[in-house]
Amino acid sequence: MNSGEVLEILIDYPLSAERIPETMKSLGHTVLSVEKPGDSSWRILVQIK
Amino acid sequence: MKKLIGEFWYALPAGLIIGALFGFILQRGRFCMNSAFRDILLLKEFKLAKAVVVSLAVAMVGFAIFAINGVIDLAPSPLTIWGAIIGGLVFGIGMVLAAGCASGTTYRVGEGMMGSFVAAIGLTAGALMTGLGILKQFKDDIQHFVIGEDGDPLTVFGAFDADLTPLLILIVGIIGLALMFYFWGGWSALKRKKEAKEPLIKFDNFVESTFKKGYPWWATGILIGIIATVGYVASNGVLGITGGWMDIELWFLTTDSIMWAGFIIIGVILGSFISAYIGGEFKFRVSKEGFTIVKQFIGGLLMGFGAVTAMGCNITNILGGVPQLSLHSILTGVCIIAGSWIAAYFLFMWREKD
Repeated sequence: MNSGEVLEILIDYPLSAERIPETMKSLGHTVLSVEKPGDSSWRILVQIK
Repeated sequence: MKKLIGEFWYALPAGLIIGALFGFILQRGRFCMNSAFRDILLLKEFKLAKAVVVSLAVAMVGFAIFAINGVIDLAPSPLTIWGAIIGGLVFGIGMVLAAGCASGTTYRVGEGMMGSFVAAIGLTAGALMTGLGILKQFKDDIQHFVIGEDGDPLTVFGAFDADLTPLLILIVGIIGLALMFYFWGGWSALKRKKEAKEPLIKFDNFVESTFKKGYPWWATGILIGIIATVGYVASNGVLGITGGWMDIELWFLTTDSIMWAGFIIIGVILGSFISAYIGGEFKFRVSKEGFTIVKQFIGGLLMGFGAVTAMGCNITNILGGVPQLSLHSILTGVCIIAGSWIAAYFLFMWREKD
């Protein structure tokens, strides 16, 4: 992916919803939002460094 | 409680309640030793590993207090060296394939993960084959060699002594907790709160953070250590997962009623389900790739073989045995970690290094 592009991550597992934003931040990317549209489903938006 | 544990009408409520509390905490804390050990290597992520270490120190203090008062009898396993090495390595490799240790697999069943249910069936089948079936002779040969005079259990401080060992465990546990509190941010967090004049515990978000959110690693560690102690006091023995699954399977096969270990499993699944349901994290989930299910089943089989060969899964050996400073359990734990790193490397990492 190119710098500045936004990656949408869709997951259904609680630990990933906590881990992925943390890992993305530690890799230097910007976490734009973490939403929970329904039971055990998450939508994470990450802007790539 | 020592005498009661064989009674069905004691084992039923006690096992279900303690199991449910265990399951609730496992789910809230996402406490899984597979994630804990694998992610050290894979993501350089230490939070769950720290939770494991905290739980061990809390369990040391808990076990020691009740052992010194004569409420429980400590019983570290004798150093069955090849059982620990081979069983630990195979268990560690298996849990990465199964995507969960014995307890992690069990609590994920309560979250609705079908892959984990398949892994649990594999775990049960592997354990029964090794404990009672075609692999029994092979396992007996591996376990034949025991280090220590007359098969006496060995601890870090030499042969187990029912009077002296609990005192040493208490000292190690307290020193461990103090060091962790100082070096892992507890002390500085307290100082910061004092300077900012914040209350020690904020009760306004107590319900939200207890029932809806994932727990911080240190809270998970403390709670798991407490539940390990409660489980020991209630049954005069360490909590176990693999034995419980075997218990349930044998209940299907024979007319023997389920006992303590089986009720713990049913409790863990119920507790985890309740926790996941309240937190909006329950959902039936099936992997889209068929191969993943096969992999998880094979991982379960390997874990079952490893657990019986090493005389305990990660819960019995690491959460139950390491706090007793049992050399057998420590060696098993090291081999479980080594096995998980070997499997994680070959599954996830080797392709990256061109």
